[in-house]
Amino acid sequence: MALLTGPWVTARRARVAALCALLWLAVAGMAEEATFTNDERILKVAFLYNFSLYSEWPAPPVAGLVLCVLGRDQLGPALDALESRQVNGKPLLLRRIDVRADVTACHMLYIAAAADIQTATIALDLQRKPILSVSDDANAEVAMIHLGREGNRLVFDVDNTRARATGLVLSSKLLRLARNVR
Amino acid sequence: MSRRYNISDLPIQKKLWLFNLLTSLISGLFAVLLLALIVWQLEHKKGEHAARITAAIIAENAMPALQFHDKRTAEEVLAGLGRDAQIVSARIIEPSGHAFAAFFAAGISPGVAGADASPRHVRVTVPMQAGGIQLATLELTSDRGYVVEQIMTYIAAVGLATVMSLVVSSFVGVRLQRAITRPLSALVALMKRVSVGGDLSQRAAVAGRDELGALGESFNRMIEQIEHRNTTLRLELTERRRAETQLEHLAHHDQVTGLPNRHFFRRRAAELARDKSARDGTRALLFIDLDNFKYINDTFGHDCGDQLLVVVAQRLSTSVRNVDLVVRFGGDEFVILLEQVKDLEQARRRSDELREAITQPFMLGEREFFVTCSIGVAMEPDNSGNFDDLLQKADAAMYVAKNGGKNGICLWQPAMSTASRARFELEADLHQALGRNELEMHYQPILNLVTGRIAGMEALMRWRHPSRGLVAPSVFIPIAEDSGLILTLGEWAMRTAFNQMAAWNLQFGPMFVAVNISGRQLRDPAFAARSEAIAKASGLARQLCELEVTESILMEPASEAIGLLKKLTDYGFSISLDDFGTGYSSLAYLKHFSLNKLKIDRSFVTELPHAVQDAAICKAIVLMSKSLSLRNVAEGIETASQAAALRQLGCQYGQGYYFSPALPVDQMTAFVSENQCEAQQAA
Repeated sequence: MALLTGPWVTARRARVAALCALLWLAVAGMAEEATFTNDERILKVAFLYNFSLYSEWPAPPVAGLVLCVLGRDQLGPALDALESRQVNGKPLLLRRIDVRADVTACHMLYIAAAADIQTATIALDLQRKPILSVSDDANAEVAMIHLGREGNRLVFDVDNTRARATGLVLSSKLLRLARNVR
Repeated sequence: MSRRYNISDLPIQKKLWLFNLLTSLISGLFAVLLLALIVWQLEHKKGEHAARITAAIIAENAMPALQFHDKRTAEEVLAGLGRDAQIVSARIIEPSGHAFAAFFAAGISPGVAGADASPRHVRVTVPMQAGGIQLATLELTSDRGYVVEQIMTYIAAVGLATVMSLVVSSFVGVRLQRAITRPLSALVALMKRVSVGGDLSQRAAVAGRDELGALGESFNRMIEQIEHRNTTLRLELTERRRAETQLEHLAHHDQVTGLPNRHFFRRRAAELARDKSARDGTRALLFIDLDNFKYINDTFGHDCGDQLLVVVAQRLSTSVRNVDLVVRFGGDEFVILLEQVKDLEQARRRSDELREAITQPFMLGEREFFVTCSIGVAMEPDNSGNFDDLLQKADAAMYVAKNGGKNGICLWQPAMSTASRARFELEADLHQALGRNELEMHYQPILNLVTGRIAGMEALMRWRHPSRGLVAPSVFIPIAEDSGLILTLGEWAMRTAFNQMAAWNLQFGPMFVAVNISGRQLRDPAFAARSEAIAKASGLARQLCELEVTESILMEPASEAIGLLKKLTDYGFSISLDDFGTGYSSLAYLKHFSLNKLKIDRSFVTELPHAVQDAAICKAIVLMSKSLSLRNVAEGIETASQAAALRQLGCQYGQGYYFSPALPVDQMTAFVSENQCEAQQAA
């Protein structure tokens, strides 16, 4: 899976990367459709849920932990099943949003597709607000946690600097499990 | 062989030691068992608890790794268990049963860890949950092998303690046991000395006040009691032996003379009869009977009689040789067995020596006595080989000697036994004579010599024997006196005579009746009262009741006889003295006894009227009686001239064949009425 290596793309090479990504998307789009097995979806949903368990918000959720999903996700019913679960005694609330939506109400944000994030206003919000952003899209630079593959394992990288900047505290246990921590 | 293993045979010391050993071992064993159980239980719980805590921590630590499916990290966490030596394995098992991560201690194969836990393993499982969902289970297996080691250590420690305590308790126990067993052994040894050796002087040393001390004291008390009892027993035994010897002597010896008695003689005779080989020549059996012993006994009392017997016994004993046997056979009878008698002549000579010895006068108090004896002799084996038979023969011979005038010796002849047997039969018949009405009273009249009238009668007993005919009183009275039958006969005589005379008195006017009294009767203290009762019953006036006693009865003024005669005269009886002038006549009687009448013996009458001396004696007696206010009767008058002579001499009454012999009642009745008619005619 060479495609998933070296996710940290510099702005200088952004244009090349974007091109490549388009190509990758064209080719890998189908591939992604194909490789996202049911187990993998479930696993990813589980990861999302587990991230919430090892995170602390400056202002803990009151009514419930709001998980926002940006873009068309491919996680299917597994994600919907999360709504029945609780995080630290609070219900988990699932919201599907688009880039125009206000993300400030979100505690977590799963960026299914990076698409227009850089341009969207949420990018800014994400940089300032304590919103745990997760993405399995390497392009989604704003995400604090990037999901990835290593062999047949699902792994993740954590940008703890970014998380700290927003006031989010990620558990050391989580950090320990991360493939890379920045 | 099994006896050797019998625990009760072991000495107490061994037993105590064994007991000690067993106690220590058992307590040690129990301690070990309990300890093992407790340690096992405690350690098990502890181990399980520890494993559970460890598992919880591990589960906590491994949770994120599980959540993020980070097997490597999970195994890293599990690997941390490697530092705990007791952890055998740890696994995180997903609900599907698949082991997400696993850890196995070095040297443990996964197969072993996965298998069911052996007893030495503790397996705990901890659920791994997140957000209310069980993700997996942590399974932790820990080894309890160290507990076994621990227990082994404890067992070793307790065992050591047991051994130590054994050693110490043995050391202490030996001393304690000695304190117990030593006194016991000493007691046992003492017991042996006492029971086997019989040494009752031994005593146990009493050491303390415990049970052993008490035992020792009790033991000492016991020995003392035994000793005391032994002493008592010995004394008793001695006393009993002495008593037995005495009894034996008493049974075979006469108390008065100290001579062997008839039992002794019978025993000796049996011995001699058995031991015929010891025969040494001929033996002579002497049967000696004292002639006048009864008289002396009756007159002077039993004490006097006893002293007489003692003297006789002494004389007999000193007169025989050592080999001879002198026996008091009973009463005044002595039996002497003379050994080594050559012939009849020697037997007679020696018998004569004995008779001589007896007849020597002797002094009792201030009085001189003469005793004569009759001796019967039978020879062994000439007369008989049987001692019983011999005794009978000697007895028979003695009777013959006695009847032959007394103071004689008689050698046995066959005819004597026949006579003796006849006498024996007569005695047997006499016992039945009263019951068979064979006895009758005859009466001889006593006449007033002046008027020729019958003044009274002498009652004389007759025995009409069914086969022998009339038996003379001189024959049967001595037999009656010997057998004691005279008392019954005497009473019968009095009753019959008094009654008869009472009847005659009614018919013919007052006449007295004289009844003969035996010396034996006068020895009976009740005699006076009985006589009075009989006389009273008859209704005959008391002064007409006359009792005749012989001189011999009154020979000495024995107090009994004096008292009795006094009593009789007080009652009103007349007492007449028979055969006056013969025997041991003493004028002193006349002073001592209250007499009413003297009967002049026939020996002075027979020669009258020619014998001048007899006439003088008769005259003297008559004169004396008159001056003493006594009446007098002459006996044995057979002729008219005798009667006339006596009348001239002044004699009041006469009696004899000249007037009438003794007659039965009806003839006498006729005689009396005829006499009264003659008297009236004469008047």
